[in-house]
Amino acid sequence: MTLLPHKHVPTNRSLIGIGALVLQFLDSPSSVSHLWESVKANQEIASFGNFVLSLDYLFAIGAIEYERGLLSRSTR
Amino acid sequence: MISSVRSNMPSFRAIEFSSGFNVVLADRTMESTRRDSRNGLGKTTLVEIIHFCLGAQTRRNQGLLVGALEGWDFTLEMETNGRTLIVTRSTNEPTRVSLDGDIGDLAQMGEHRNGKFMLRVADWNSLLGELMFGLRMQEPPPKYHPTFRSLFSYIVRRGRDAFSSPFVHHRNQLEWDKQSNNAFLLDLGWEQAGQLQELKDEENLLNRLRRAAREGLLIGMIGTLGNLEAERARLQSEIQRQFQALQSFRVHPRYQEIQQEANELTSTIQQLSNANLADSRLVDLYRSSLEEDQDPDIDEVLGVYQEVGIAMPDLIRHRLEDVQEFHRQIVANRRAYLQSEIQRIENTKSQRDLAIHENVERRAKLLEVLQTHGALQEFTSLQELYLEEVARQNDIDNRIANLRRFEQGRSEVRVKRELLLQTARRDFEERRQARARAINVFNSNSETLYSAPGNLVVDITNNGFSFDVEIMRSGSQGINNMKILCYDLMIAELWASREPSPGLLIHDSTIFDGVDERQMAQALELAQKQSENGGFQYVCALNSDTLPTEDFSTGFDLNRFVRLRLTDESEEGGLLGIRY
Repeated sequence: MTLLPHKHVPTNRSLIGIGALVLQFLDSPSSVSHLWESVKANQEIASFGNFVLSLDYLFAIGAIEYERGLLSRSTR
Repeated sequence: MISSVRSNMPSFRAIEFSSGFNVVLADRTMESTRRDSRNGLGKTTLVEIIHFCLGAQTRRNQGLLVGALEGWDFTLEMETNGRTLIVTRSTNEPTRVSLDGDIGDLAQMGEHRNGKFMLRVADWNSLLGELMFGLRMQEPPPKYHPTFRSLFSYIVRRGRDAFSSPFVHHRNQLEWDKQSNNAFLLDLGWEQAGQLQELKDEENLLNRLRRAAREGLLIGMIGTLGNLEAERARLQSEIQRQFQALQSFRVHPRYQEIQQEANELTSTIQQLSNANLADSRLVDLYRSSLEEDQDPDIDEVLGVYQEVGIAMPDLIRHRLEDVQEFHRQIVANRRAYLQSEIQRIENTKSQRDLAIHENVERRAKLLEVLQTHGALQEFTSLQELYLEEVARQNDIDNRIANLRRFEQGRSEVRVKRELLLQTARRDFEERRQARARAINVFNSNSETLYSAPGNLVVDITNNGFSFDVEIMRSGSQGINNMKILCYDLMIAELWASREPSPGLLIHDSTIFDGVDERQMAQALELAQKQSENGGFQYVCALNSDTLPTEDFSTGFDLNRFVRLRLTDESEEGGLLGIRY
């Protein structure tokens, strides 16, 4: 899984694209499973693994937080 | 023989008759033809009076019982069977007659009232029957037998109906009445005519039985014995079957409730099973998630972190270790979630299984009760059906009984009729001589009037006697009336030599209506000769304007025989002496 799109990976299948999509679904604090249920219908997110890596990416850039078992968009 | 006719009213023109030939003459003046014919001179009234005194049925406001004749008594003096009788009947009290004369031995028949010996009209008729015709019925009398009143109506014919056929004196005269009375007059076996009628009555009764057996049957059912018996057999086995069912039926008082509960249980069980099925699928899904969802290797996180560090370094907000920790927690939480879900669902399923099991067991118990019992309603219905079938069977039994009686009766009647006809024919044969004599006399009369032979035809058919008279002369006016005259004279002649005998024959002028003058003259002379020689009394009422004076034989003076002259010149000229 690549972070950035390139010749063989379109944007929406890159971690950046997936991350953006996941973020869209995270409009309120939600558990991982709940978020996953919402998101997994989208084809671009091919697997739970991709989903988790995208969360890792979003966390890394500080876009999401993980408090008391709930994911949420960063307030900062 | 009638000696005289009188009345208590002074205006009445009393008549005295002799034996042999008698004439009552009615003089119509020119004016009378324009008058209402109801105001007759009294010819018809005379006949009415004679009938009245001799026991005729009366009806209020009709005949002699009209208001104008209130208070009139009529008296007849007669001789019969060697006995003189004087009978008086009153229009005020027509239910009884008073009797005088040779009545010494009759005390038992009536009662004395106000110094008079009174008889009920029915008893008077019985007495007359015995005295004039020798009618004596055994006790108890047969149902159908000749009666005085009917026989007398041939001796003194009255009304237009009586002049259409010699054998009929009344338009609606019943067949048995005709046969019985004519047979008696002709000295034939009248008993059989009555018995034939009794057989006819039996037949009618039987036909009613058959009708009853067939009426109201269901469409498609034929009312034959075979058909009904087959139906009965079918019903019998059906009834037995139903009876068994009723016997073994056990009613459960709460059947409906139990049935309801069983249905609800079925529904519940169904719901629980469905829920478990859905949950099973969910568990399978979770389990496969646990297996298949390959959690990305913790090392891959490093790769991502590094890429981010290269592509957007100023965006990095957390250190690598934090991101890796984040990752571990995510993954662990996810797995924990899945497992707890699986567990939870499995628990729910187990509970449902338990509930299902309990419900199934309970339902099995209920079903067992339902199978071995029935609802009260069902029992009641079965019972009603059973009773209906029993009622139908009873109905069929009745019909079968009726049909059997009908069949049986019908054969019996047939046999009886055959025997009766045999007896009648045998008896008929034995009286051949009497018949021959009657035919001779009739023939002789007809020769006198028409110089043509006449015949009296009596036959026995399946219906009994049949009678006819023939005169071999056609086209002559009024021949029908003359047949009657010849016949009546013959009867009078034949009876004159018997004892007892009525010794009387009365003809109203109607008998000469439309008759040729020649025949009329011959007829009158014949009647005169026969009555004198035969020793019976003949009375005829004639209109003076139709007398065949030209055609009488020389030496025959009709006036010698006129006992009364009625005229309409004045009110007193009529029989009653009044106009009413």
